[in-house]
Amino acid sequence: MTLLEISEVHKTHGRGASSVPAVRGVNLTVAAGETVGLVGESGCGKSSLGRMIAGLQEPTSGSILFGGNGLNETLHGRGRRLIQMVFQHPAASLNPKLTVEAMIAEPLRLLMGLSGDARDRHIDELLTGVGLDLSYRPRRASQLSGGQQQRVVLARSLACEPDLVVLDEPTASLDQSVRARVVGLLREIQNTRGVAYLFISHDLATVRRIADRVAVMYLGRIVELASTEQLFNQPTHPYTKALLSAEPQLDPASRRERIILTGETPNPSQLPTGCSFQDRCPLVHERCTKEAPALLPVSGNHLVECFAVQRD
Amino acid sequence: MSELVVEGLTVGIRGHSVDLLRDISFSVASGEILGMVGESGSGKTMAALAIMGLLPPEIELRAGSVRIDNLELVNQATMTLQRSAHQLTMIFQQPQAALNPTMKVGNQVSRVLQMHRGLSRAEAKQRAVQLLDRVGIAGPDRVARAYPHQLSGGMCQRVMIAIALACKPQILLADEPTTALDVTIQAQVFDLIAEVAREEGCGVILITHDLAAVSELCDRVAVLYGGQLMESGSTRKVLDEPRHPYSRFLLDAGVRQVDSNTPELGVNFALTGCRFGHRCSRADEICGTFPPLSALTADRGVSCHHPLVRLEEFK
Repeated sequence: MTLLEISEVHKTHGRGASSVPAVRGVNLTVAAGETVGLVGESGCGKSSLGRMIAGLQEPTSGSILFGGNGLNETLHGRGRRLIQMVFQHPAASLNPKLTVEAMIAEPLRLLMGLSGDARDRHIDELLTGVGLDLSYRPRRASQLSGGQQQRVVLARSLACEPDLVVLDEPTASLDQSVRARVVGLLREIQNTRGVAYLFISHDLATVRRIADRVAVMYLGRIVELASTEQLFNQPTHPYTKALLSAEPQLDPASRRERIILTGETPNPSQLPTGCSFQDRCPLVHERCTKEAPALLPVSGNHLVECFAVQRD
Repeated sequence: MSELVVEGLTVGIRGHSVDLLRDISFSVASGEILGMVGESGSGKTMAALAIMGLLPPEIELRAGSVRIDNLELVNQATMTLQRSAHQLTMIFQQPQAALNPTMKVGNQVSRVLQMHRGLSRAEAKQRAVQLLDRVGIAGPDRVARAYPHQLSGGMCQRVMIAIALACKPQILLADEPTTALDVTIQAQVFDLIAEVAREEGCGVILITHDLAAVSELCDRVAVLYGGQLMESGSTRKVLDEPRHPYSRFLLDAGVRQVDSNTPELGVNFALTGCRFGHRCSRADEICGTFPPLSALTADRGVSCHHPLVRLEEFK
């Protein structure tokens, strides 16, 4: 069942000559209970897209449907509970003056209408659910480690039983061993609650461990979309190939031939005509400089936006 | 062949008996890249600052010896570091924060050349452009006239490496040089660091928490936890056949699904024994005493009372 349907979404920050197109025509669906990974480098528009899905920003154009309805109707009033967002820095998203229990109680009161004993029981359940024991209830954010803070953030976002959680780099500020535990926790929560995730990250290893499908973004466009297995085993877009090859591998046997991209991501406010990857692409040919490719299937559900690959 | 040798490095907070770094020893030869890995708070950066003589005023060097080519840098009477710029340099995690925002980057490179190498202003300017070219910056003339905010993070880190190379250092300390960078840019910076080690013949200490990066880039690796050097040896040996339970734990965290309910314990610096003791499945009474770094082979050391003999034995 399709939960979220994004069609032709654009987002431009700023106006006039200094405007920056962050998202340039994205189509994506997320099914109920599914995890979609959204990867790309800084400035590719992945966070802008996540913020629009969570209703924190309005798209410049295009439509975002949630359960068949427009986002604004869905998120009206207590409908706000259906989509939650988790940010990169847990310390910055927790109120330093409130205790853990007060922070989790807030959405329960405001969005779920719970009070008294019922609310108390819920707080206990949520804390246990994220692997924190009840002695954490009276603590404040400053008394918790980064991993514990991220667990509190998760408990709070799950308090109102959302259908979709947008996770924007939720593990970027955590240590490797803590990161592994948070990813394990996210999977457990999904198995028991059936919540869908949009997992935004630049960390390919983590995305590989959690996502069912992966979308690769480059300069505001999705350039490749495939199941996690397809994407990591048969990366097809030249950018995806370079991205995967650049990632260090622990095991020398699984190393890919390194494709070093020359130069850096171009300035998004001065994009060339045609394909936005042309300046760094090893497969560039004449057509790429004239017209922009579209995201088309190369096989089944494997979509790629590249002329060089689509030709054959 | 110049070589950096660190022996028995011990560092603590003034007025407290607890040691933040305890008896750390390692060495780096010229042209070699040593990876120093560990989680936050493991003491990797503290070790680098101690070697550089950059410890904050409330932290004191308690014991230890730092030698380059058998020349002692630690004044044993005052426990302070004496060094000159051409011996050791350091690059940091946030290149934009390490550069002066009000000064053109070319001047930041040439200032170092004027101060430490005694070049004239014109010579330094010319050499700075050469150095920017050396670290793979396209259009070095133009970039030399730019301010840091006009450059990307990857470019700034290249400028930092150019500044580090300006003094022809024997040892380059790189503290998480790519944490703030994207993965494709990270690959470019790693390639540059490897090239610098090879061609300039300087030893590199790469501080990171990324074991995969260590696996690709480093010749040898030192694993730190809670200010204790857990294990050191050649990269392939340590990563393929870790002997310390903590090394095994760290490797597993990167590749296996870890039980989300494993308790998340901070480092207990008050422990007099092994700092990993309270998290270790092999710990017993003897782990209440500090395990010295014992040599397994000439190149391999482990600080553990119950090292893993074979992989299968752990778990």
